[in-house]
Amino acid sequence: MPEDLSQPPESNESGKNWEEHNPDIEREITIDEFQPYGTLTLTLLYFLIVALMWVFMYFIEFGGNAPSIIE
Amino acid sequence: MHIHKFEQFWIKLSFVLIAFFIATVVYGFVAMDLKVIGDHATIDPQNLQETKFGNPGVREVTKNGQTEYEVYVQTIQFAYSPGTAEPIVVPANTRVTFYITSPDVLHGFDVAGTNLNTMAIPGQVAKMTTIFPESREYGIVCNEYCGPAHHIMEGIIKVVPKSEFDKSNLVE
Ligand SMILES: [Cu+2]
Repeated sequence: MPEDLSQPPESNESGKNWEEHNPDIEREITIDEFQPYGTLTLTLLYFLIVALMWVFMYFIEFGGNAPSIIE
Repeated sequence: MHIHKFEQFWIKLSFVLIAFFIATVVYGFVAMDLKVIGDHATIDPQNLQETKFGNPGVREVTKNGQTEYEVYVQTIQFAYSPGTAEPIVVPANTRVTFYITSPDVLHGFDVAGTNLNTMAIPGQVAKMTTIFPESREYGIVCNEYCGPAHHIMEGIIKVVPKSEFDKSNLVE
């Protein structure tokens, strides 16, 4: 995606760049320097919950609910 | 296209998850020997009278020198015949094969709290074999919406000890 598209339209009108509009921003980083470890942790936690629920649903609710169909 | 390495990681992880799901299902059907209902037979739902479903109930059969039982059940709006008006009585620790069909609309035959569960489809016969390990009562519920009284459609399977099984109620 071209970078100008991610900028708010008014920054183009005034001729100022995005950082000048947001003086709180101290440092600009590239995409690879951005490291959302919190999101990574939540994603891993979510995958773990899905996997555990699947194991419970499949092996206990579905497989272990005897009597079962034997033929 | 450049993808952030974290994003690459969880895209890969979702494929691992899918592979894991498929592997558990394969494991269940290969190693745990799980079974589901397949297509057994088709039947004319208008002419059940001429079949064993015309005289539904529990039958005694001998297979491979063993005494087994066959249960023919009609699912009708809004009852199991047999099952609702009178319970289906079968002995424990014996092979029991259910044959289930419907003369009217789609129903469900779900033995609550167990893995015994099938659709009852007009024109099709569902077949499932099981062994009830203990004598107790099981409820049957209809789990396919079949009409205005669907929610009260239920039946009972009474599993009794082999020694107490009364053969005078068998049908011929
Ligand atoms: Cu129903």
